[in-house]
Amino acid sequence: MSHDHVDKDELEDALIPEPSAEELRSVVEEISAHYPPPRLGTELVLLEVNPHRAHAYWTIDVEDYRSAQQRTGLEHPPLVLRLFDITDGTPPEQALTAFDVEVQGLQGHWYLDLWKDGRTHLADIGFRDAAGRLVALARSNPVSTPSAAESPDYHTLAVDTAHPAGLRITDLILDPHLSDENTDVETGAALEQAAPSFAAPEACAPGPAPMVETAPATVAFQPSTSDATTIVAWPDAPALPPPEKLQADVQAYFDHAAEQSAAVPVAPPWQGHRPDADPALSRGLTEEPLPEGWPSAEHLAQLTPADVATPVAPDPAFTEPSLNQPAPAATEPTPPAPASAPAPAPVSLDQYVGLSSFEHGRREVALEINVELHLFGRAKPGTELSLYGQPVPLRPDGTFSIRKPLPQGAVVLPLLAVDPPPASKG
Amino acid sequence: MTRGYLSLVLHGHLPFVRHPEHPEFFEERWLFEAITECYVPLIKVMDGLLADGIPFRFALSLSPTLCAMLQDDLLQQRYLHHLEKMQELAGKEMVRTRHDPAFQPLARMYHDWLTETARIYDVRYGRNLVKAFRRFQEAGVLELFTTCATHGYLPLLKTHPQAVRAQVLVGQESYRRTFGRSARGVWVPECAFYPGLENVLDEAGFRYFFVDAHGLLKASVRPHYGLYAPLACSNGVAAFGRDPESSRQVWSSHDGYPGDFDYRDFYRDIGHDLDLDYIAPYILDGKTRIHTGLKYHRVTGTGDTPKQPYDPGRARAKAEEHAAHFVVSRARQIQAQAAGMDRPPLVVSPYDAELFGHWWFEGPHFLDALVRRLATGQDEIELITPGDYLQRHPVVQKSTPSASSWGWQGYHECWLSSVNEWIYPHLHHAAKVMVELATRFQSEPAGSLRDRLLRQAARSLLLAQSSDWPFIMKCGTAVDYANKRMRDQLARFHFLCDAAAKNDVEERKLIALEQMDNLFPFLDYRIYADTAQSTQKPAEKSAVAS
Repeated sequence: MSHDHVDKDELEDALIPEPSAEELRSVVEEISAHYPPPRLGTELVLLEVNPHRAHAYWTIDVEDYRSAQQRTGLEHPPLVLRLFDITDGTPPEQALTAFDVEVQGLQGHWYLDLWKDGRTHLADIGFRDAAGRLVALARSNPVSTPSAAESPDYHTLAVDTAHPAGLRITDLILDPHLSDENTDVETGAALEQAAPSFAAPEACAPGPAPMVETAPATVAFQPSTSDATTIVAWPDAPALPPPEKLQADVQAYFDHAAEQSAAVPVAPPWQGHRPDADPALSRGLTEEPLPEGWPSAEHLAQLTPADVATPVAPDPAFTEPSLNQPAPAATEPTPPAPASAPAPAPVSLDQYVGLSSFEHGRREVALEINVELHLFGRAKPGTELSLYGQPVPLRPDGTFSIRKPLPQGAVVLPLLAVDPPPASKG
Repeated sequence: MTRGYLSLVLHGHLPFVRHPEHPEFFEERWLFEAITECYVPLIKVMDGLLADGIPFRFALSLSPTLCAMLQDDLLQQRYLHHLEKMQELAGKEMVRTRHDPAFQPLARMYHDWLTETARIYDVRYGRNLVKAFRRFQEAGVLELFTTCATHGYLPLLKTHPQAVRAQVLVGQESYRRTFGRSARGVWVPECAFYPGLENVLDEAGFRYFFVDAHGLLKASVRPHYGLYAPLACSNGVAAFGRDPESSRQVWSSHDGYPGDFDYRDFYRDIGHDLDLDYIAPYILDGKTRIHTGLKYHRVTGTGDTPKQPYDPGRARAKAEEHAAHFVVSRARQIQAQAAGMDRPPLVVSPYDAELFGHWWFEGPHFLDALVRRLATGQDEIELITPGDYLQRHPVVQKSTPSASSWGWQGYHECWLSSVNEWIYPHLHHAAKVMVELATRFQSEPAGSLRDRLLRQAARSLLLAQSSDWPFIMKCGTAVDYANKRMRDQLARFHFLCDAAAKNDVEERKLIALEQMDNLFPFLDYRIYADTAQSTQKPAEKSAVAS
């Protein structure tokens, strides 16, 4: 091809002047102004955050939303995320464990705290009908959380990384009981632990920390410390630990949870019922009314100081507030108590913990946010369960559900479970 | 006798901050500062070691976005202009401080240093630092490798496997075109790994990657040698674990070396100290005070201790002292481990390259002193690169690392939290649209309008996926910029996809976008095509406007 030949298109291209900075700016500003991200269709996506937490986000078409809502036959059915543990490849319909989280909105997100690490979950979003069945709107992708524990024990396969296919070729591990890592391999003498011939770190504080006196242990020999936060006994699990251990574990868990959820409210996880014979998404999770004596947040907000010592009846119209959604439409603010109002009667520790957000609410503030803790789970039927010494009613199948307003700051929940007495032989 | 290995791994990355639509743009200074304070000093260190015949082996990953910017004509010109302004300021400072015995030598030091930087950058390497790094690789002292196309945070993109695949494959292809060979290693962005990713890495031809310590220690099978040897996934792709002790010594802001009282203070800068009228020509818009890079004080102490003048000689001596300490620390570590291993223990110490010189001004001198100390007077520790190690010890325990990252808390919290979670629905949706369009228009003739539109859309998608944006949102540093970049790239993406679906666009706009986001000229959008679904299911809801 002759170098003298110039293609017509190339010539035209060459004649097109490059956009100036002004033109570039004008184009990108116009595009940014006119192409906001489009509204997304109905979908639910799960993302792993860490071994004990997943993130869910969803968007729902208005038409899908209305249609599913109507199919429940309820005027205001709750929108729920139903999370299934499908770790062993179990289809969600047959998952042994599942739990519901009530959510709100055509578009939203939620952080889900998970009891166990190293599991695979999948979720549905939909409306729960009166029988607890789910009218599903979307199903998520599966999400696997990593294990928080150390690796399982050795096995001995190796791969040849030089081989193009990474072929397995040999047993690698010669002796898992390595010699003492603090012993010189040649002389057998203990390795010197004295500081090296280097200027003391404190001479240049805050420079390097003092030398590590002990060499890093070979991690392979450390005992497993997994499942430190697993505190609920499942049917196939060993008996509950002693009450002291349980209380310590509960405290540890909530300390951890408080730390984790400082920025973002999280939903408490719950191991749901074993699926019944209903197919697909039709099985439900029932929820009984609040036990008597446990006030809702709404009630607390409407109380006056004089009411403090009075037992509060459960609110039949109570609906669980979303912890992770924009606040609902503003309601009438609770007027601050008049200065002449009588001082509240002394309250028990139990009531103080339960009503402490009210205590804060007596002051005039620009904004007050109350948080309610929903404790739910199950124990062996017949177990005597108590929280702060107050009995927690168990349903016949051993499940329970109680709500408590959360006070500010750290809270310890001494939850005590006592095995039922052994059945007497006829 | 070599008793163990030390692998110094530097990761060089900056997000794509090229803004031809503005005559001057603040975030381009991220690149300029990194060139002046980090890349040129590192090059100078390696030049010096080579000249002195000191044997050494480093590993350095250079991200595709960084390479693209280092080779970009516009940014090269702008950097030279920036450097000239810096030299001018240093010259003025020499005059201003002529009666100040504490600061005048420092002003002179900066002036000489900037002059030397200009010589290395402009004269010695012809404004293209990629050439310098390639030269070191060819000289056998540097093992270069790469990372994903725009440093996408893969675990949070994997809802669409094609998005992960494109990040990985485009990263390798960019390296191949830049350095004329394939990279053996890959810096998985933010060390964020998940089981299964090794298959994509293998497909791209990568033979090793890095994870944080817990990623290795919680692998599918317990690592027999702990962190002191790599593992290999079942497909033979090896994983090296970050050594926490050596990381802490360099990284930690509390007890790491860079916090030493004798080192230069990063935050005390004449951009904040001097009269506005005087400093105005060298700060943002002549009004907003920023770091100029000229800093006259040392860390001095904690709290409200008045800052003392910086003493370069004292700081260099301290860097050499710290290098010696680092060597002794590694020797002890290796000595303790070697007793129980059938191969020399390996300590892997990866760091962000920008730490050396930018945050830690004396960092390059520390590296220089470290290499010289390792090369002379001891034979227990050998500097090695991950690629060299695998060649020497190709039989590696089989085990797949656990999902993990090197970010805060060790998993994905840093990139997925209340401040940055909003980006993921949009990124996932955009990936879905890209896959759909790439699948639908696989047979589009190369060079056609739609072909160009979809190539540019793929560039916008890759740029939106950069892990830097959610990271910045989390850190709260340049949040407005990160938010804007995310929104702008998504808007460009949807504009281009709409146009591609209609096969109609005002070409000036396409040309403008091609000029704006001009990286990856080789990029073919078909990399996103879902070959299993080359024909779209009619019943399926389309994410793309028809």
